[in-house]
Amino acid sequence: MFRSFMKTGLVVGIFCVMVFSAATQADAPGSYAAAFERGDQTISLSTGFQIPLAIIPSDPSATESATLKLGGGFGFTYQYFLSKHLAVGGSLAGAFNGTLGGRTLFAVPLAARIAWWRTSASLQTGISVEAGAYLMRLDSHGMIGPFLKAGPELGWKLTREWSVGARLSSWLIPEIHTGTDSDKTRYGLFGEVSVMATYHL
Amino acid sequence: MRKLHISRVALAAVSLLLFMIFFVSGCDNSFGILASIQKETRQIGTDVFLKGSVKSTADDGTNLFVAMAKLYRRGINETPGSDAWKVLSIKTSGTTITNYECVGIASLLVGGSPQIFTLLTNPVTREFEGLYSSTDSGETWNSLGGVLLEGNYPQSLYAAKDSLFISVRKKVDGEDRYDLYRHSSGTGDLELCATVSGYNEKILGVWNDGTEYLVLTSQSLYRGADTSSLVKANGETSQPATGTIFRGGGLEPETKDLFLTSSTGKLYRRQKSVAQWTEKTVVSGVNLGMLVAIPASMNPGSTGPRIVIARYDSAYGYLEYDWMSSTYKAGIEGKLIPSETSYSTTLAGKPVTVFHVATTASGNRLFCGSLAATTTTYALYSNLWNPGTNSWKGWEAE
Repeated sequence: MFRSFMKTGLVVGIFCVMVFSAATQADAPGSYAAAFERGDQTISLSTGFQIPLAIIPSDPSATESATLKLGGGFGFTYQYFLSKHLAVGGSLAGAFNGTLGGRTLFAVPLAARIAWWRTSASLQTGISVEAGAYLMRLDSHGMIGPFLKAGPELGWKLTREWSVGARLSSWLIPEIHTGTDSDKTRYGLFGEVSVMATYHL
Repeated sequence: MRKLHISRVALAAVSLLLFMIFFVSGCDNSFGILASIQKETRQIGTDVFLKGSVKSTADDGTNLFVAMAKLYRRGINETPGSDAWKVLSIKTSGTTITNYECVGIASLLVGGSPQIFTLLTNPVTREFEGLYSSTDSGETWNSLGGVLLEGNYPQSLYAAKDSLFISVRKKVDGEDRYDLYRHSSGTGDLELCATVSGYNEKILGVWNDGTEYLVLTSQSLYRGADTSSLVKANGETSQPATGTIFRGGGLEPETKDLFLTSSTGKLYRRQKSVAQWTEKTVVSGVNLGMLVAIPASMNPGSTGPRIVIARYDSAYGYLEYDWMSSTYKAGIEGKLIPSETSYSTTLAGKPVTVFHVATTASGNRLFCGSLAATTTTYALYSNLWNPGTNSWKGWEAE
């Protein structure tokens, strides 16, 4: 657990240093107007922790309450602003969590996105909802299904082109099985805590 | 510039397509990924088996013995994962050997009483060091000699009926050759089983079906009422084709029929009573490995045994196969790593070296030894048979 935490933390730390370095080289940091306008476009890269919250319904025969470990993830997000508050776009993410048994759960959601942003001075605050599909793998087994993600985001306009910020979101991964295997249907709930860098096109 | 742009787009599209194919190809409605994770059980075994390598196992009805680099013992009724495991020194009347490499462990009934035998090599040179027997569950040992084995590299120790068998490897003109020696408990002499010796075929097992000795090499089965009269089994009805590569075998304890696995995914049965062979494709094209035949008495609803088969190649795992109905008790065709998480949690990713069924106070327990040196898991697990539900309880780390 601690080793996994350290690995993910190291990746996040390196990412932060790289983004900050790139941003400061592009332009001197300072206070820049954070407001969006219709037609603005952004791309964001994020990385952070993937926190397993629950698998529901619970299994009465299970002997352990927490079989997924703290993991990590990354994401790529594109936004197009329809107005100074409303943005639409899409995202591609990847997340991994180790299991108690030494296996690794890997999920890759691809989703459409809608977000509502408010800005104040250099601060950008938003809330987003994403819906799409995921691809999930464990050992040699795979699964595809619908995906839902929602949560708040916070950004600080560091230069004219760059913002840095953080994202806190919940992932809902319904693993739906049909027919005689319908008893294997489960809903995975994960929390994402990540840092992100946004480039304003 | 435009051409370059198109190439980049095409490359990205192809990459994405390959990525999608990689994921979609593994989609399996019958396997619940999250349900499987929910059922994972924390395995806390004994440190001696962590990242270890089990070579063989044996029991004398009172204790269970495991050969790794050293010889380990615990009471057969102890709880899995307990600290009851004890490393054994080989105490003889004249000396105590602590610096040894244990190659094998086996048990025999001698005069109606259980005896334990172990085969040791020099831990540095890997040459033969000694063959020992014990009548007190490993507290004291007697040397059985073995001049004929000196300078050879012992590979395995087998027990069949009233004899021990030792397979050794030697170099002849730079190539590996394998010899089989027999040690009769009655005479105490070592003899070379000449018919099956001197070949480059690795010896995989020795059994006695009550009538004959059966010796399996990687390419042939030998049979004979005595080891001096072993002959290659030829001309038997529906015998496996010449060139079949065998990977492992085991006797069904009640019928004494011999079951063999092959490198092509086939499972063979040689019926003792009529020396007739039957073959079934368990997993087409897959390299099968070690097996243990669980008798029909532990396979309710079927008139035949269930065969636990490990996979030989790098996609390690195992399945349980009902011989009569050709159905899978655990695992599915094409994917030997079974869908039950309790199995895959413990045994995935490790080559299985030994299966052993022991009768304990709690019931029949199946032990599975593996090579765990390159993993972070244990090398020995066991699984208790629950006659009430007619199923295995689930793997537990030893």
